[in-house]
Amino acid sequence: MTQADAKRSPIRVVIADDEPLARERLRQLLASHPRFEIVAECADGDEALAAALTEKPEVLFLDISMPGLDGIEVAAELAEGDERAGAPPAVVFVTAHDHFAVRAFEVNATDYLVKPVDRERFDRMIVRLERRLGDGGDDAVDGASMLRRLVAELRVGSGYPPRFVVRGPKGHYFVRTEEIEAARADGNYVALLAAGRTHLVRETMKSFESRVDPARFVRIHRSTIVSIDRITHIEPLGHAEYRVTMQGGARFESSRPYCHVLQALVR
Amino acid sequence: MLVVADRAIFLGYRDRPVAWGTLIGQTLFVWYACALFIPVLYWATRRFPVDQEPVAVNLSIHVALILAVSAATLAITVPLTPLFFERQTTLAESFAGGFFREVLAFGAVAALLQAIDFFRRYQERQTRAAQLEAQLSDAQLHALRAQLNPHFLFNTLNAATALIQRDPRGADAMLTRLGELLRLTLRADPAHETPLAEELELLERYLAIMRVRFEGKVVVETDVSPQAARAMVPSFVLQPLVENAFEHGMARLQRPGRIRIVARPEGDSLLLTVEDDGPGPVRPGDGTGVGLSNTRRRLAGLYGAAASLTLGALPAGGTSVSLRLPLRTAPA
Repeated sequence: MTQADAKRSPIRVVIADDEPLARERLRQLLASHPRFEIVAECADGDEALAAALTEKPEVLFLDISMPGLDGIEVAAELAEGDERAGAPPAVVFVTAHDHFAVRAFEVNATDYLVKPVDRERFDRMIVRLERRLGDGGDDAVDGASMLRRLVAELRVGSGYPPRFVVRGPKGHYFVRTEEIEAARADGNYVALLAAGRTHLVRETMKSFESRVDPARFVRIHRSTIVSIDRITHIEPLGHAEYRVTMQGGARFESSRPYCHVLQALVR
Repeated sequence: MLVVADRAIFLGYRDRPVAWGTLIGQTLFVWYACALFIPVLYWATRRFPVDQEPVAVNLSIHVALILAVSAATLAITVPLTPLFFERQTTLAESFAGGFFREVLAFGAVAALLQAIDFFRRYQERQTRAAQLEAQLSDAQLHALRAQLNPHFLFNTLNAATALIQRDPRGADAMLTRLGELLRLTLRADPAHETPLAEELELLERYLAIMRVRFEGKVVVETDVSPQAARAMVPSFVLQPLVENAFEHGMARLQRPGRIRIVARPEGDSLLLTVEDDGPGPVRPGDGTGVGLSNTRRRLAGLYGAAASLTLGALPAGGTSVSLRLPLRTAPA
């Protein structure tokens, strides 16, 4: 395709918002830009993720607060996607009221919309999008890493999540934070031990540690974090090292740099 | 008086004649001279309070000032006294005795001024504290005042913009209801009570908006006995609870949901419950959401221990928030 052709081909869009009227608003605004073609409308995060992976749109309008996976989690999944699958879509976040998110968007130069959606701002953003996509769009690696950076920042502001998203063989599911017994580092992943099973989440230990309440979880080792409520025994091994036994029977050994909390607990 | 007595004794001791008139006259003259310098001492008291840091410095300044002022007074009075009165003592005696007397006198005055100033400042502090307390209660009341969630506000406005093209009447209704809700929240007085029936009417405006926005995704039921409808409840108490049910209950569902508002008398209490069949509370019994803690504080402020708020999980799944208030009915 020549550059001229590429400039005229339709731009495929997926819209995700749990309120039908909000989706309608976006539909109305896009109607003035015939080049943009809505290929799917989704009412929750799960649908949005599925549509993004199947339809491979160039643009994804994501409401931040949606049932199931929320907008941030959808973006996280897309960012962690298989890089061979190509660049993730250009994500335009939509939010009703979230200072923190808006700050994160501006710092990361991400396109975003606030509700009620202003027509002029929308049109200006469309022009920017067209330019960005006309230039060949984002490189697969760049696009994913930009999204990943943004997601990390957005997660900081969202407090301690009540659950974590796990990508399983049949799709993704959730593990409730209060059921997590322990977390162990596993390459690029963190392995969550919950209800006797292991669940892999794509995170670093450091980022996982920052997302759990320090009053409930303690890091006892460079590669281990355990749930304080689920500790049954703490056995000193000397040299400021301990063996921690969990409710489910699992045992972990702590290391000296992380001994302080355990020492306090033992007292 | 003391000064006069002192000088009389001094003269008497020296076996000199005591001319009382002159003595008193002289003393008064000296006192008037002192009075000239009292403003200086007053200024020093305000500027260098002895009880504030740096204490040592302030104290030294006062001492120095007293000495200086005493000397100055003497410098004025001793040369001038003979102009008006007959000298009773020698020049040397006048200076020495006088100096000592002045220092004592000024010292006493300075001490008195300090005490007065201290007392004044203490009173100021009390007044300020009382004012602050009043202000704080005001601020707290302001904070407890019902507030419309910005999330609700902006999402509703957005929904209205969508309706403008397709259903202008619907947009009209939505915006009008929103305006009414805003007006009511701005007017809401945390200490104010209304009959439950009125509270439900207010809630109906909110629900009407939500019904349009969530288009068949939520069903709201009310189960309020006639007696409960006449009970007095804090104004605008229901809306935040129902909003929670929407935000944490319904908004998390990927299927249609149901909210139930139940009110019934129980002994001498009114039991007011909002239930939803959403995913249930994150941590049962916690109830630490901002909306709930505000409500708790309002209840405590209005009814003390006679009122309570409980957050719980429903056995079939979902959340229930229960308010227990003293049952007081509006006059029929």
